[in-house]
Amino acid sequence: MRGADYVIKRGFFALVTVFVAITINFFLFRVLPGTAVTDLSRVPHASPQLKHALTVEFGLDKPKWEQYLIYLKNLLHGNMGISFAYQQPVSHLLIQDLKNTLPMVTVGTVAAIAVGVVTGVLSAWRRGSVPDHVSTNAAIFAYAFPTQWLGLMLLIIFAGTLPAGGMSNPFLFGAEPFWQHLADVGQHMILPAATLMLTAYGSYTLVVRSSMLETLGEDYVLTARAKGLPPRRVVRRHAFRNALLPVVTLVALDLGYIVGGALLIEVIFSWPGIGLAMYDAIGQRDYPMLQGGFLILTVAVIVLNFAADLLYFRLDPRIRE
Amino acid sequence: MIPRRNPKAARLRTFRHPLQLIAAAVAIALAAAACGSSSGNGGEVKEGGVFRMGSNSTIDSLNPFVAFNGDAYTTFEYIYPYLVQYNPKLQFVADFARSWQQSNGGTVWTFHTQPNAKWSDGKPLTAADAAWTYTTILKYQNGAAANSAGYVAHMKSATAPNATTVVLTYKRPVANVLSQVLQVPILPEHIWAKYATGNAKAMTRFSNGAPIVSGGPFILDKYTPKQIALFKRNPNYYGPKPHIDGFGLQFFGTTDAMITALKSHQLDGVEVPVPPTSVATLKAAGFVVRSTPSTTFDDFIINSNPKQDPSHRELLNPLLRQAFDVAINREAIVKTSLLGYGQPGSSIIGPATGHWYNSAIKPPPFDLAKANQLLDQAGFKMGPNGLRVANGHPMSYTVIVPDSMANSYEQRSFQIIQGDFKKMGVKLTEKTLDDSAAYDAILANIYKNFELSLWDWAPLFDPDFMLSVLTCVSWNVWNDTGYCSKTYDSMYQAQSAAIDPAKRQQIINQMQQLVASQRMYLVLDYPDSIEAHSPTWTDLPLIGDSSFWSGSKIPMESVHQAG
Repeated sequence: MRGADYVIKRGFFALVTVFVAITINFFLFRVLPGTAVTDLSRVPHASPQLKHALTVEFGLDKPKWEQYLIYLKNLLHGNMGISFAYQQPVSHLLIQDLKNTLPMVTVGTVAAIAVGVVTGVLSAWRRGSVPDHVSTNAAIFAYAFPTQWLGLMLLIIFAGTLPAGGMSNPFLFGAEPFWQHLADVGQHMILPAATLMLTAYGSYTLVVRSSMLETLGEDYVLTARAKGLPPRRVVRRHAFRNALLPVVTLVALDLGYIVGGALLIEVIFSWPGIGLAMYDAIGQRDYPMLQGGFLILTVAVIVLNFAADLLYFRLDPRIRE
Repeated sequence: MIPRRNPKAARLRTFRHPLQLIAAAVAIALAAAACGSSSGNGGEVKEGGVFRMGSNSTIDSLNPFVAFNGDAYTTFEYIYPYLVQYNPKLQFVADFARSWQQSNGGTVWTFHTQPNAKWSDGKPLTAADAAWTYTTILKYQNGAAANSAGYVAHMKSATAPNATTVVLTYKRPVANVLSQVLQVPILPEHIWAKYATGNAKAMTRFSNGAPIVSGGPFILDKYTPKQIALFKRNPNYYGPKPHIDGFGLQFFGTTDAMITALKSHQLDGVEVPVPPTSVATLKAAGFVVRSTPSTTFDDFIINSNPKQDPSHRELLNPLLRQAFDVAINREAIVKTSLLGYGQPGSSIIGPATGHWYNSAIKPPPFDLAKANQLLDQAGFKMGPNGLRVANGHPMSYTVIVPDSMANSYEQRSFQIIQGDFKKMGVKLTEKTLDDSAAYDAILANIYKNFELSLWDWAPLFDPDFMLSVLTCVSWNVWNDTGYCSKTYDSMYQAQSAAIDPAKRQQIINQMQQLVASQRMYLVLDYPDSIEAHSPTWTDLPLIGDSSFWSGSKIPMESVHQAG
């Protein structure tokens, strides 16, 4: 298959997927019982007139198909709409949330990938040994931890040592010096990022171990060993490189989900990111916020999958044949 | 305790009936006495410092025409002038209005405001700002200002004949004017007027970001959504100078994290409600924990729509309702669910509202034998599978429980009720929905579908709002029972126009009696309000059941470091 054909085909599928996801996102939240009007009209002495005014204000009096066309038209103009609850542009709110989410979730995810890959490779290399058993069982154990439970445990264990919530010490008047602020944010990030790392690294360990065991059994690895290459070189240059293909998919998927934040972690550690924003928006039935948040998540996952496809094309010659 | 329990409503309370005339000297003296009486050490006050508070809610908007959450309204209380406020005895005392009087049979209310007051930007703060705020709400009450429309109910006009006089004129006498104006922040006209034109959509889109031009004791210096609201002292404030340099409100995603932050001294205090399960550890750690009766009550709702679906129309039967009432073990609920921090419930106007509570209404004693006897008397015989049969079908009902309750102590209350109902042959099945969906499920098909529900209310101190919930005009908005009665409605109208406090009290007592006898709400309990703060701070008076809510500026004006 020619490279251009492959890219066009994959790109077309990605675009179709985005469109389908946008459509599903639009209707999915409207299927949920309850509306933002129900939520926001609960003010003292609220009247049916207030409910009607809010319904008209939010455009919910129009037929669903008309709302959908308006939504598509606005999206084409780069307009994600106005949040029902905050009365502010959704794009403005989500960008702020994303800025908060990305550093914490990136640190946690990258740490999970690094720890998972290293422990996976070591487990496969020392297959059947005590370190392998310890590492594999620890990975399964960590993977099985409910995130919220682990988060709360860390919160309790490190109470008084590390901050219990938020992104930085908030009770300071005036601006903090940059480096001091950075250190402060870093300290606040430890617990949420560690929780994310602990709950996510296990899957990398298991996938990398399995993939490594497969490649370590290949003929070319046997040949390399027979040629007398040092074990480390065999693992690093021959086995590990070939074992990376499934990891690429897993990493691409996980990186895509980074923009979705880590909902439970953000709630537990009061991290004001996009996961927390989506959590609030669901309770408030804030359709524009939900559509915007899930649109960003969908596009990120699809774009990174597309990138993974392209990377596969580059890494795996069999696809080009 | 939100959805139908608007957090804004939850924090705005009133206690006493408006007096005919409250002189400035009396009001100010009361406020001063209140502050003085709360003094913890009686010695010299240590000035300065930042009081760090935690909240498990957040500020949803800094725009009073958009905001919904209680923390937003508490913010407005501290940055904006209000005509009146509560003191710790829950009396109306001076804020921006130094004195007030009513005339023309209670249809004209005249407020005399602080002279020479200034906004934080140095511009004059006058009665004209107050008149503009009320006029704007009146003008846009069916549109951009709809969320404040209830505060100007029956109001005809608001004028400022001079810089220190505001006159509110009503179409008819209104019994609770002071508790209404206590809820309206006075906005700076020179900032807001440009948005209040046309359909005033721009007014709701105005983010009103920090630093906000303020007239209250504090200026919102820094606000980071979902993280922090940091307030510093306003040097231009017309009232008493706060002892602290400022205070901050940090927002937490969970109560556990907030309590952990308090215990590890990352905070100096936390907003209500502190869970009863945390009280012992906080006390052991040396924190000041205060538990006071609140107006909140938990309730078991029985569909009262006479046209409800025939498959559960037996729920209208008075004998069944009485049986359900006596089959609820309120003592066990208080002991198990509230760990003793509360009391058994009876009336929808709780004892924490003071004289408004009709003490003649007692919680019915738990009596399963009597419950069985009442159901037998109603003709609902026990079926073969341990379930009674009513109108040809087993007595099995779905109880709608909002997730805010299902994930709280009320879950244990439900289990207690469920267990006891089973013993009298009635099966209850819990249906948990998130709050918005639960409310819609109750209202669905004009109250024809739902059977039972378990929820709570956090009403105001003034009973007007809580009583309004059961009126016919509240259908499809606040009414969550399907109850509608012309008798009740006329009593509601009568109390809302009763300027004579004794007459109003009498009507309100009768209304409570009517509700208790009709049993659309079976009031389960009145949970205590629990809050905690570090002993390094003192003179933090409770206003009602909390030191931090939108009814008063006094707590943050008087709090200071101990020693």
